[in-house]
Amino acid sequence: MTFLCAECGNYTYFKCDVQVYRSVNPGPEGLLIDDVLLEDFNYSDSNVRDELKDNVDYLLKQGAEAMYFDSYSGRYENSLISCARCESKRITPPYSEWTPKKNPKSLEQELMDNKEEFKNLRKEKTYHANTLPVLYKP
Amino acid sequence: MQIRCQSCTNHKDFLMPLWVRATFKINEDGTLSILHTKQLESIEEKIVDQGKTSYALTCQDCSGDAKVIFNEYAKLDTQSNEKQALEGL
Repeated sequence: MTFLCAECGNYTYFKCDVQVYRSVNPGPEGLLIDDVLLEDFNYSDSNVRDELKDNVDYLLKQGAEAMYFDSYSGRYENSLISCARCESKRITPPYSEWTPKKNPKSLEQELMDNKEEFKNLRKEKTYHANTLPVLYKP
Repeated sequence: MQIRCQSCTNHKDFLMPLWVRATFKINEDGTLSILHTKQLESIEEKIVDQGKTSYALTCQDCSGDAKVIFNEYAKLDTQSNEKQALEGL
């Protein structure tokens, strides 16, 4: 379950407003409106898919923080995605999705393990401070 | 009707952004399937509005603002009218 509608419990069908680019070609018969076809892909299609995915990913990342208080309805709503069944904007990721991440080792342990590699990296690094200043010659 | 780019010489390929409402489904594996798209803006209105309150129509080659000329013969008509008026004098 990715999103949940707080009104009707829907977790499958949603709506989202996205921007799509269309190609406008003036011709003798009038304007020809079509998809934007670039060399090897359909830009209009990929634009819709990418923007939809961006919105879904943003809402998943932000969770309840993406909700804002709507003073008209007196409820917390979300501005990006609405329910396709009941048109409600009370869509959030289910809170049960969140779990504390279990990392195999602590950060301190990881830093200690990678200490030698970091030392080698520092040796490879070039410092501008080590180069002598060059006098300006007009 | 003619559309011309104000920055380059392109008069054929232009881009118009339009808002659409996509109805989509979240599949079991987390992927998205688009079921339907509904256009929320009118292309005609945006083209008519071009250059007045917005510059939505842009050149596909250089991204410059496009200029829409609805009656390219209007200038010719004016010129011929002026010519006829001068001839009449």
